[in-house]
Amino acid sequence: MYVFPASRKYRWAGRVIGLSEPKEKLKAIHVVYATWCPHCVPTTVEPMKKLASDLGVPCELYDIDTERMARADELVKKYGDWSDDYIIPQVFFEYAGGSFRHMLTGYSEGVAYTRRAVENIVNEMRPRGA
Amino acid sequence: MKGRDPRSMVDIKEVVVERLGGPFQCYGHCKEEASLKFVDSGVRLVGAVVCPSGYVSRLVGYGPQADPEGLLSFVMSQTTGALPLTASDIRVATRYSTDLGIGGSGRVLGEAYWTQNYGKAKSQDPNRPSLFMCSNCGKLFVQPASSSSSLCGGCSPERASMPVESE
Repeated sequence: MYVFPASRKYRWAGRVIGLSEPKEKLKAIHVVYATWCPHCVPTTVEPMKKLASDLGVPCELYDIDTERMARADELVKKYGDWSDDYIIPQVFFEYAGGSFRHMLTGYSEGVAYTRRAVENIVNEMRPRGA
Repeated sequence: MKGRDPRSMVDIKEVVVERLGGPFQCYGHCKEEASLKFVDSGVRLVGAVVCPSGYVSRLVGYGPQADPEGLLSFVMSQTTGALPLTASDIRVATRYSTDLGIGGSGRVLGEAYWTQNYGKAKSQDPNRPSLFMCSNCGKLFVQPASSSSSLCGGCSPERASMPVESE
């Protein structure tokens, strides 16, 4: 079992990363996924549904094997990591001002990496006490 | 490939080793544990996921931004036409400090992936030409997937003249 190292700050390209940025009001969480993908279900979809519920916002799901594929492609093309055979899952946060922020692309390194990344996002975003 | 900033390359490598450095499971070849080994690509930081037999499950290009064209060019240079390759075989991902678990927000690095024997190029032929890493010199070379040797032609002279047939 791989044990991930504890959180720390890095100096990257001459600046220290790991500093929080101001947060806009979240409006919705969008998840592009497929039901057959173990990085997606349950690894990403379930925690994101729970996070959205805790934050009081909708969780919009886009199964790429349904008619929602067109919207999924649009989100990934506009805001995410697009390639012809793009990686799933991809998670986006939509803010009240109308902006979208790409939060996650699944880790080809393995499901454990995607799981850890989802946990990191949830821990960062979850309201205190939830 | 785009210009190289040695300072950021070093720091990206540190993040890759600590957060993305494996271990992994070999994909499409065996069930052995695979590890990440860095490859001398000349420009970009490139990692190879390699099992004990030397089979390369995946090549990953790392940089401030994903560089799919650069990785495709590198893979083509290493496989010298022996493997079917197109731009659609390269996939990309952006990693942020949030999902990497290093606090705050902001892009940290981009990854471009090439996974061997995946997607439209997938073949069940055990003798399909495949990319390996030499266990002696670390060079990438092509031989049949079913080969039991982990040495390149240069390190195993008796194999130097062994042809690899393309499909």
